[in-house]
Amino acid sequence: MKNLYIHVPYCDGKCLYCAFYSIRGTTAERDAYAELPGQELTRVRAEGVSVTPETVYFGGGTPSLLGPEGLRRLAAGLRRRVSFERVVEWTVEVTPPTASDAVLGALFEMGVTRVSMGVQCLNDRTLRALGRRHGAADAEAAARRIRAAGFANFGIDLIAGLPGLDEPGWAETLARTLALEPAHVSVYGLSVEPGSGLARQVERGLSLPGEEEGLAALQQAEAALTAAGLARYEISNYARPGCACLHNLACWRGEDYLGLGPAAASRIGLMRRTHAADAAAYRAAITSGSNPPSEEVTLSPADDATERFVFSLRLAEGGSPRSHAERWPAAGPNVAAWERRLDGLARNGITEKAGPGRWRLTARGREVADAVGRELL
Amino acid sequence: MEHSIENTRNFCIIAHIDHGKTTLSDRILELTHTIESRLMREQTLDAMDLERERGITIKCHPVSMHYTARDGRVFRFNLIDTPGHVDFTYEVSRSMGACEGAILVVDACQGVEAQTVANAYLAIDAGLEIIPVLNKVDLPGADVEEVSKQVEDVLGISMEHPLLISAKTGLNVDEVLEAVVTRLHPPKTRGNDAPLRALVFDSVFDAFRGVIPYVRVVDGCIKAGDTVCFLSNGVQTQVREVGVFSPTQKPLAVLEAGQVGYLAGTIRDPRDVKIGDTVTTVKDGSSEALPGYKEVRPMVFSGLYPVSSDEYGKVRNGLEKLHLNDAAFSFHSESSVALGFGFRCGFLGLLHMEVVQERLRREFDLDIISTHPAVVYKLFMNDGTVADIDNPTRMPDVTRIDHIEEPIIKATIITPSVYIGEIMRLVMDRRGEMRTTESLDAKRVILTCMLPLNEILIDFHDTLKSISRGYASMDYEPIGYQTSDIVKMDILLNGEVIDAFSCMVHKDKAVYRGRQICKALSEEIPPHMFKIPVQATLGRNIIAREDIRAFRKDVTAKLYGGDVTRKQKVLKKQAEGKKRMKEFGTVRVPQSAFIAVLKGGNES
Repeated sequence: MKNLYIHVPYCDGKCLYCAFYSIRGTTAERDAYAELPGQELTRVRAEGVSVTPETVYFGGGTPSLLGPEGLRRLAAGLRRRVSFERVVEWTVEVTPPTASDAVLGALFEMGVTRVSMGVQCLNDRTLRALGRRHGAADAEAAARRIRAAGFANFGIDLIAGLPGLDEPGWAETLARTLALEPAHVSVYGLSVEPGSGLARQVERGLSLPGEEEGLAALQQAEAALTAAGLARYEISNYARPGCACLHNLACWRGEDYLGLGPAAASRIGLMRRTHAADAAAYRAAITSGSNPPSEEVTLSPADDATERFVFSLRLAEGGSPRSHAERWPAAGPNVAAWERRLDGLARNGITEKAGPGRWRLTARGREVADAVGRELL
Repeated sequence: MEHSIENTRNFCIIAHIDHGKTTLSDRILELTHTIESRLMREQTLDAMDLERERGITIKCHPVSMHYTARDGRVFRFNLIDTPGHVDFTYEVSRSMGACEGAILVVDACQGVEAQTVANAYLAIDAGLEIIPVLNKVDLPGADVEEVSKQVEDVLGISMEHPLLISAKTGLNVDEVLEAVVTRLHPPKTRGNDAPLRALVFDSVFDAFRGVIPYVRVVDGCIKAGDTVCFLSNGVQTQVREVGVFSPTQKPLAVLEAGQVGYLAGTIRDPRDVKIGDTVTTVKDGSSEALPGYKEVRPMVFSGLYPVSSDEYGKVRNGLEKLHLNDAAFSFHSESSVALGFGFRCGFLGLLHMEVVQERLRREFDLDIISTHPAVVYKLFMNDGTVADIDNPTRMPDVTRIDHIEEPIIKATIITPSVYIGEIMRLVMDRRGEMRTTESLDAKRVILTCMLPLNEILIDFHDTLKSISRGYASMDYEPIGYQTSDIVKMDILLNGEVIDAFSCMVHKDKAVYRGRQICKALSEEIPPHMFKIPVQATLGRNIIAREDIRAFRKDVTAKLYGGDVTRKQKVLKKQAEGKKRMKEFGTVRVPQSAFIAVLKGGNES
């Protein structure tokens, strides 16, 4: 197992669009939490999973909310159990208010190589409407702190198609983001997730930018970011050369990953496991020495190999059915059908050849990537 | 119970659809105590679910009953139920071949309808004695006098002793039974001691006992242990059981002359039993075949294909089983570029086609797609040869064809006279020609007209019904061929010809029909990732076009870690729906699109 993900479920508030699992938690709970993923790791290794991480990712939630001490203890708990010697990328997610000098200093000292900050946009009114606990200037200051702490490789996450952000407003966000010289930018189209505050507001009559405007905002982002030298290496991700997120690349390329913490997900061989989104139950299980509640399925080798292939098409490098089947032999019987379909989609401008036996999405294909995925199932 | 030939009556009941034939059959079964009324299901004789649901009888169902007449004599009645619809004329004539008489049921509110006329003429032609019965006389709308007059005037059947009944309440149904005794003849036969001759009028397949022929014993008798053979092919079998239907199969020691029943032997191959064949004993048998049935020729053809190609074997099996007790339809394998391997099937008419397809779906749980129905065209080639074409994909190069002839039918339409103008317009619109218009009564007329069969394939009957608020009824018979300007139209999806949608049309109708089909397809095919042009072409000319626009967006913005498997599950679920669609290149076509094309789209 080369890819390790640790979920930190705590946030200092709930953003309007968010449907991820996050809770506020008490200080005591957060402090106690730092020990748990390490303990879970012991259980996983006892199951026979050998873990030698090459990429590590602390996501959330807001990992930086654990503070310098909590983060140190979280990391130490892991490193006591597995060697971080081969780790080439270690990412920690932060938010502007929590990216303090103390936190950033601690991360740098621990050996974290990459910091990813959720910003969403650089417009105070929209940030307020989204329920973010910071302004545009706070985000810019945080980015400068990250850089000053020694992280040349840092990323900024944005959301395209936000209400109240017209074309000039979005252009301003993009320009100010680029001025911070991030190595990586993620741009997600706004989606109304069931159960989110946004979904409730939409129900009450909030009108969002339409599909066309949303797609236009994404195109605007692509134009601005690629012009600044960030390549679109995945549908929603842009990076300077050599700065693509290796952890996420591994997921898209079909590698295994181990997720620790409540709501974390793992892909271990044919097994898929997602822990219940319940921090208290997670803590109770780990401290009493039992497995955290989770949903677990074992796929057939064919379904497993298919899943590993389907999402590779989201990458700019595309996917090659034939080389995928060399790596995952259970995909063998599907090679001819995948090639035929990808070729048919190429005739209709959805995919294009990216080398011999390799296809990738076109600009139009990126707008309908899920439908392409369905074609391959 | 012993019955002499003198005390046997074989009869059928004929009627226009919904005039109460099946209800009357049910009452007769009750009155003769063949079935206890508490065990009666509505429409006992209609064994197929499809029949019960649609309220129509498709297959003939025989049943034997005992009836004690008023004079104390005990009779054996063999009732053979018949279908009412024009498409099943063949079934009707098979039933009639086993009978001496027919009860003609006419709805006293509706009066004589097209199928009343058609069926009555079939019975008269078959030499049957006819007992006219006016049904539903208890309803307020009943007009006994007027309807009696119609029966006499239109059918030429005497209404001197009218039987006025209500099959629903049972009113006067006992009179009908007495009439069967007094007005019908006992079977004509050379007797029980004559060499055996039995007419096969139907057969069913039983998983345990093989093919079971239904027979009408004309001369001689059959018992278990006899070795019998079929005159047409010499196939022999040892009889293991004989019996009657009361109403389910009930074994008897012997089936005597004049009786209607079944025989179970050791016949495994459905093809060995031909409807209309004569059964005789191998020892001391007869070599004289009974007059069989007129060989029926399918008039309407359509390709039937499994949605999923691995069900080809299942479809073949289903067709073989259905063919066994519906000899009227034909099938042979064919293949389509678009649909793969399937079958070309011939049907007597449109309802027949629908019924066969529906039975395949229900009784064999098959998902099938049917291609555009076609008739048989006669192609007169430049080299003097003539070719029959029932499949547009077989159409040779047009430069080799001198001219084409298409089949013509003579239609009889009975309608309230207020709709006559609109119906005449419909007939003209379908390239038809009016022939005669006669008054049936003060309010109704009988129209006769000539129409190309091709023009009534799709929605003629539905349109007729909607124009006349459901009051017009229609029947038709083929009368020959006539030269016509017929062309082959192709349909292209995303630039590729889909042979399953190719059809033959009259040149003047091509643009209209092309638009109809393109529109129907563009409405039924869901949006894809890309725009799909739907085009109709004659040769290289595009004569109609619709575009199916692409859906705008379908992408998950943020996807990592735990989402992947969840997302995969969602995608997989969505992909399931796809499997029920037929794939043509990169375009998926739902079954509903095939049906929409057959129904002619929504345009009228």
